[in-house]
Amino acid sequence: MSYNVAYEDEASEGLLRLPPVIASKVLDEIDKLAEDPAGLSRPSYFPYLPVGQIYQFWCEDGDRRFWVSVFFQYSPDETSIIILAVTGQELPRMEDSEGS
Amino acid sequence: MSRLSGILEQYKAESWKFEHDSAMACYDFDDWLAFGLKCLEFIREKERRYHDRLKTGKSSADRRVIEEIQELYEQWYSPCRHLLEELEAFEREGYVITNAQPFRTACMSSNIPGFEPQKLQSAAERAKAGHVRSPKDLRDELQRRIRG
Repeated sequence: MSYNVAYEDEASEGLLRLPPVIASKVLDEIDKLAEDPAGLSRPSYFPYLPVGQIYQFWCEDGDRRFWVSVFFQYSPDETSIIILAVTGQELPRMEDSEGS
Repeated sequence: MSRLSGILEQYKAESWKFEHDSAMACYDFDDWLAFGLKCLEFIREKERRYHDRLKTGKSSADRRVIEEIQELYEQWYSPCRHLLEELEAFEREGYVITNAQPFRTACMSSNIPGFEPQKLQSAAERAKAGHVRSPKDLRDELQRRIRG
């Protein structure tokens, strides 16, 4: 089942703080997340909101690579995922031998 | 499982074994919170050292290390809710726990920058009030920035 996606304002700002090409790729990843949120994410843990999910993934563009964290909740009618936070931590590119 | 991960598993298991019925139990609990705080400090230090090595080129970036550090944090947070309940119980009995405040602060800290619990709570409330944007809206804005 595919879900609609909505971005809370602060999550939008978090996304827009990323380099634009990375942010665009993050949007693509979140579209994939909407196809299978239960399969791709895991339940949030204390101290975060108890009713929430966390999705973390790597996103890269050229020489730049980010460890991206997305926090979301399901809408009450369970037709949408509401993105509440998006953050990205930049790290040097990894060696090819470490996989992608 | 790394050695530190094994220690945190034990920390989690032992965190469920407190009674709050005597001064000795209170001291034991206070020492346990101090131990928990040291464990957290160690995880943070491990993360900081890794990032320092990355910055200076002494280590190459390894996704497994980043993911393992994330798992260590999750292990550390796992018994926090229970320990906070135990802390409240001791305090209701009139015991003074010297590590109470630092432990509470540590429990409410976020290991993921930007995921501060209070900010997430506020975001959830704003989302309920309808303050949301569509993916199309964001994509349009990004396209403008990429072109601009």
